[in-house]
Amino acid sequence: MQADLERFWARLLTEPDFRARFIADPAGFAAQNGLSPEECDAVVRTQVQDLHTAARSYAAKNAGKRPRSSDRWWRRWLPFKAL
Amino acid sequence: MQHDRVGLGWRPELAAGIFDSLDRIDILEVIADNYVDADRAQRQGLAMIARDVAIHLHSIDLGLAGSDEVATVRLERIARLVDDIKPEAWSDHLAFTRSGDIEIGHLAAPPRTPASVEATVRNVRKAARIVGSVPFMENIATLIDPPGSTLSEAAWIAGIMSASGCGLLLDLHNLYANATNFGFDPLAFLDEIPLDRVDGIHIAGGKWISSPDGEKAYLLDDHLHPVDEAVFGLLSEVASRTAQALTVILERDGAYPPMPELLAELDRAREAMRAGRRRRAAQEAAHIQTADAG
Repeated sequence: MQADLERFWARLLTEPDFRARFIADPAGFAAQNGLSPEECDAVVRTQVQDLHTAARSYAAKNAGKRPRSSDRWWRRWLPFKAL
Repeated sequence: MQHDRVGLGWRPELAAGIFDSLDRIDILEVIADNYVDADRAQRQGLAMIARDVAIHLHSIDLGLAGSDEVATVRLERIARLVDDIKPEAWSDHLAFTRSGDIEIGHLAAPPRTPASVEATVRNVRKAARIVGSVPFMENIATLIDPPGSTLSEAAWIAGIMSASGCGLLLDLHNLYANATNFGFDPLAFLDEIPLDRVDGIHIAGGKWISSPDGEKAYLLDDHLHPVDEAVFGLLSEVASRTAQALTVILERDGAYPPMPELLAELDRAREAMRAGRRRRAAQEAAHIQTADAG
């Protein structure tokens, strides 16, 4: 089911422990997490090298994220412009 | 036909340079996620800018290409922002950003299947209903091919556009990066998607990175580097293949160069589009001559 596969995929990309357990036993771990035989076949074909690279990229992006707030710049600029 | 336009992603760090250069910037694209929690004064400031220059709102976090139904509350926040700012258009990505309680924190490519086409269409329709206009949907860059995909990226995008009625925000650096990393021809990709439904185009730069073991190289879409000449080449190609006016946005998210360098990139984009338009005009003229001769 698409939702199960997406959830599994999202965890592989973001959770180091989950990823390590998958890499240790791809087919067994996928089956243990409720993926169908077809989905297990699909995830087993994942390139580990690509997975590590993508996961590192997500970790870097999340670490570098600014807090989701409005730009402080506006607070300085607005009163001046509004006059 | 309306004119092609070229603009820039609005970033606070570039504000002074942008205001000094509005005669050379046709449009600004504002990241919606930075303003959904903004107070009234901040929204009024944005609305004020929107009176002077055309604005597109670009959302990042909705995850419309996921199986999960997009949360109504997220769409209502975008709808309020759209009501306040009145942008010409709004957009999000062909990506999922969460699954259940798992937050990915950034854009991820879902498995490309008929089921994900269906889920995306459902979410795009819900977004259009709540926000009041259909979003343009952007192709994303990915460093890894999602498992279980039964459709090519181009076929998947075409399927979503056809079934949802949405237009495409074609990110040419994302296309270039995916084509480079997965070894497909970007021109063949352009053959497969409905180019007449492209309205907006993103251009950006990236850099080469290595896998952690150092054995494989990837082109990363990081928006921190100058636009590659190959991307301008693709822009020219799209301009030569389309009849409608195009809106091009240069995305830059950091390592900001002096404003003249960014303006030079906008000029380069205009030049690339003009070259494509000239090619199209020449092809049409040749076609008419051939038809007349026949």
